[in-house]
Amino acid sequence: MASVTITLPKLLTVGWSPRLTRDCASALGSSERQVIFDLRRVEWIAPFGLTTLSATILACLEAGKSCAWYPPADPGCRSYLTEIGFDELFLPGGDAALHKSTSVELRNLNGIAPSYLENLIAVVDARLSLTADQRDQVFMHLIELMQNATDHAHSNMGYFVCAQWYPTKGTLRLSFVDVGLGIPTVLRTLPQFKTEKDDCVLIERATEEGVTTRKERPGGMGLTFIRQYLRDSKGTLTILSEKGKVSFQPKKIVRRKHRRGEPTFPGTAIDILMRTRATE
Amino acid sequence: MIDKAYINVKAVCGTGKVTRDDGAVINQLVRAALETHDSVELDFDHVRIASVSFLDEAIGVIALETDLSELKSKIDVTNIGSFDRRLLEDILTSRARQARRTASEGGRLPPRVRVATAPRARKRSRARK
Repeated sequence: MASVTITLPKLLTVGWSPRLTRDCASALGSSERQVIFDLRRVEWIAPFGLTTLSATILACLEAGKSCAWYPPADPGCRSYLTEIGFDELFLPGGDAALHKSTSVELRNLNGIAPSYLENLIAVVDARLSLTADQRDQVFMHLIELMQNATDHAHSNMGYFVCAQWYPTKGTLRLSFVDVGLGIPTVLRTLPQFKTEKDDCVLIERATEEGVTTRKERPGGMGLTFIRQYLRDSKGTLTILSEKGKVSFQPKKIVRRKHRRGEPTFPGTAIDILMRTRATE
Repeated sequence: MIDKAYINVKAVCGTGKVTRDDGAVINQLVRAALETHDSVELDFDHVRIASVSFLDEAIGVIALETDLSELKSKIDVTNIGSFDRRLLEDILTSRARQARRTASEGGRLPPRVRVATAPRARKRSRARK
């Protein structure tokens, strides 16, 4: 069978999103019947990289392609993929996810999943030195992002979610990826944004109070509050959608301009970084 | 004597569901209760909500059409966690601000029309002076 091999970079993190977007677009755009993801060089996998890779594999499978992968050479990365549930999701007969105290397994969900929320809260409650407010904040971020992915992405593949706590860094990362309609495409259905060409501007607008595509009822509060609460707790919200990438950091907003010839991210990825230690 | 209705969020929505659709159900109940009563007690029964969509749909959107202080005097929120109470306050403040902004935009006078003149005509009129 004719195949294409996609060699993934050393780091599957949100910082490496341009490279990862290019690789995923190559996999999705390839005319070959089989796509092989080569993870042998991969040394670090963050929730963003894992959810993006998973969404790409599912999109390839849905498009009738067969997918395979070379596992990472690094033993830590290899066991991470098993423990987080990647093998269980994509490998027939793959090992079941191990419920660790620092991670919440990779899942492909549709709609709001109370059991996943409970799992995450259990991890948070068991090990993290969060205040009750911070715990509720994690809960809020998850519910809002699940609601958004369900309401706006219009994807029959659902969304991928995964969470990881880094005890030494004192951070918790949550990532959501769907390969449905991106934020810019959805916002351009509104008359006021129809002619806006810059996807970064549209992503920023999506986080503003009251901006929504819902016609029957008011909306547009979810991302606004996630952004506001994260800023107040010195966290970061990064949104990657189509040709835009915007990182809402505590004191500044970083926009990554799309360069000519670069591929488009096929959907929306949302990465949240929360500080789990008291910040001064 | 104030005639007060009572709605128990836990009884209506259960403990594990706090979606926007659940919020819409509460919204309908609150609106219906306020038509027949002076005020309504919304008892959260210590259920964790932590959902902007739910709280906005249930109560927040009412602040778009009702004065905030009047709304607060009519809806008595009880047995709610501290995070949820703060979140609800933030949502109500945000919606009230949005309502004020919409009202001020609607009431603003249109900008004064400025009639354009051809550059040549302007030059000529300056030259005459």
